[in-house]
Amino acid sequence: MSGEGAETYLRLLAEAELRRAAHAADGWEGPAGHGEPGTGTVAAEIALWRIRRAGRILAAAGALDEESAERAADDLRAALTVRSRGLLSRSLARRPAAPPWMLLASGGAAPRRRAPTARHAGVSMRAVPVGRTLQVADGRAPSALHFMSLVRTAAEAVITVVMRMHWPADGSSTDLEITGAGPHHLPYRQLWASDNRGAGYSVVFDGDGGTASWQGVVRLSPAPARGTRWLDLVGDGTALLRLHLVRQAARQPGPAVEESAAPPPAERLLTQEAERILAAAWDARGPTPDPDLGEIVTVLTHAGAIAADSPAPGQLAALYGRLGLAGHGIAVPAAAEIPAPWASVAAQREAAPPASGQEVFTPLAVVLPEIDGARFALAGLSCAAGESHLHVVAAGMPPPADRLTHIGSPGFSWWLKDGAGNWHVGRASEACTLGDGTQAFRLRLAPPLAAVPDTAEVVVTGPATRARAAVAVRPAPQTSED
Amino acid sequence: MRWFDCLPGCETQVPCGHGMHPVRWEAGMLRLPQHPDAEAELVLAALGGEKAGCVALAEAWGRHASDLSVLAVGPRSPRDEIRVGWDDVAAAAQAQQAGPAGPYAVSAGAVPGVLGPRRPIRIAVPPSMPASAAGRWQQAAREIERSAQRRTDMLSLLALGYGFQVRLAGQVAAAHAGRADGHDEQAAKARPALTAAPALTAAIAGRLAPAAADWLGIDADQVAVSLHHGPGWGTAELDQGRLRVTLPVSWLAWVWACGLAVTGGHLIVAVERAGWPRARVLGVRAPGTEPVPLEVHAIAAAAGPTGPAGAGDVPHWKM
Repeated sequence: MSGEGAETYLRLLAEAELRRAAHAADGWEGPAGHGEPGTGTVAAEIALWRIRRAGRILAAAGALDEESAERAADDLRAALTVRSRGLLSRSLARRPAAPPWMLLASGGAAPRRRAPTARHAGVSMRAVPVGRTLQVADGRAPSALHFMSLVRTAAEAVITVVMRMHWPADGSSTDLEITGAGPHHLPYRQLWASDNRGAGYSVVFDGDGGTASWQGVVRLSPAPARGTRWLDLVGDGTALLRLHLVRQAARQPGPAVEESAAPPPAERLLTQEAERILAAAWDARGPTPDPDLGEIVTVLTHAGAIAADSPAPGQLAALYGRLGLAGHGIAVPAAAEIPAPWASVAAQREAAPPASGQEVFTPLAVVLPEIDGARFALAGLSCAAGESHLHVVAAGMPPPADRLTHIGSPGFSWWLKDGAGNWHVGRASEACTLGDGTQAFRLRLAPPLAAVPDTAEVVVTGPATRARAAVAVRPAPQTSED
Repeated sequence: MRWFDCLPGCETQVPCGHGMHPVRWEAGMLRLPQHPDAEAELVLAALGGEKAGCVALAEAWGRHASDLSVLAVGPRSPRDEIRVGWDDVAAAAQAQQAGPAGPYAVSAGAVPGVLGPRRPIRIAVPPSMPASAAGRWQQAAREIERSAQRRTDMLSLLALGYGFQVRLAGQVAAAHAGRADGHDEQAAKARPALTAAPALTAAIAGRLAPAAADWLGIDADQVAVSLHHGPGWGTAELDQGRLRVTLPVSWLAWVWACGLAVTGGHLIVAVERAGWPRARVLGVRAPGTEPVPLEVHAIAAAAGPTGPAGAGDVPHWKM
């Protein structure tokens, strides 16, 4: 699929929209004397909106660069404007302003879609299992703080952490409970860390959670130097917990990783939608159809970004049917089969929910090889309060500002296969971004794990590459201090 | 034989100084009868003197003689009215001289007049801004200035009326035709990865669709166009109610811009002998048939009751 073909489709679509808007030209000027937009003006706005949407879809699918999509929309806007007195007057009333991309770009041209470059190629990233628990016996907000793994880059260091609340069953702490779980319940006015050499570190919590548990990271500043043997967590001058950083470092070997090519970006857009509804199927509200899905499939197919015989649209239609969702708007018939991971998640939803109760906070310390310019450290697997999370620290992912300008572009997708052969789709939380661009986030697994496997297969798919890693999952050492 | 040989000259009046001056198009050239030494005037303007409206217009014509946006914005047919007048140009010019809105405000001499002289714009950069940010700031301001200039240019060219609009479209198409049609091998080899083909395909489709709707009585949305490369004129086939046409980019200049698209019940696909008021063309009587040579002659046509100003400047042709 060439960008030229997609741009031709978009510009031909713009021609059709210009004709449609022109047919409504009787209403260009609005009701006499009222200055309201007429039907023609509204038709023009709709035409422009459709072209911008189609351009964004094609850009998100990697079929067209954003600059070409914007240029096609700008040309249509100009064509509509010079045919409508109303639009022309409005346009002339505005003084020229900076194009939006100028406000975002750091370079000399409009931002083009970035190829997956190794922007953090060779970045140093090390993970060390910690596996310690601090029991906080505060009377009204008792909790356990589970420290799983330390991940260190050249300039930053974080420890993945889960805070599990143990609210009194008598409801005496309801006023605190409604504020949600989180480090604001810790009974310390000052919290810091010191190492075996006497150096001090500030400690900042960053994450999110619900009522019963909170997941996130502890940011250490400055990052501990290499060779640091241990950190003491200190609350109000009292050493609370020692976190050993060296003696466990060699415990986990690197994972066996297989790499293959990722599906084409346009198909990944549809896969991403499948992952969205599969993950939502485990929310209390359940999945909701994407009203734009039919349009997305139509644009991608007509522009040639998806091959006419691609199974992806039919598979997505079939998944919608499997989940009992109507109104997807996909014109092609549903496929007879859906991919095995999708089927696995759907089947687990149809089965009775597994008995839950085992709570685990496993300190993973697995650094994956570079995938499309990004590096990922798997830094913990937690099961608590009926939810399972894979804790990830990443370097080389696009910063949030980039993601904002590339609306809809498929990011990285995550799947995990447990020891029983069941698949779980990972939905990423909002990331905490550190000073050097390192990001820490959690993947909420849907469905949650029924049991913690000895080994899990983690599949990460980026813009161009899919990596499949066999990850040894070891139970956390049962070491805790009050 | 040149693409514009089927087009007669045309003339209109444009604001210049305190009055209106004629501007003519003849044999592919824009002429300014009131400014016989336009180049000397440009030199004087560069030295700080006033630039005449006519001269500024001629400059705009030259700047956009190969600009594909002319095809995207300009008219698709004589019924496709562009509603730009000289008052709109004046408003745009004033906005341009006032400078951009918001944080990119610039300092410029306010000069009255529609197409009066432009003074160099000084970009106001906050003194506390770091050098790298100041560079981006200045770049943004320059981009706004270019955008405003482009808007004023385009409105000026459209305000000339339909006759000039189609002649400029023809010139743009002709500028791209050799490369896009594969006749200019060196240029074709040198063409960048992202070509003008999408914009040119859409330009043909947007103009062929209403012509084909007139020709066959079909819905304009049922016309599918792709570019024809290499020798020959292309193809035109009817497939289950959908007209599939391949045409070279040169069709836009040689046929459409000259008002020949549908003549005597034929879709005109090429010009064999260009001339005005008589020419020999190749016309297709029906989809799927071979084109036949046709002798055609131009008739003076006044703008219809619903046609745009200047529609009479494009000839109507009969067999």
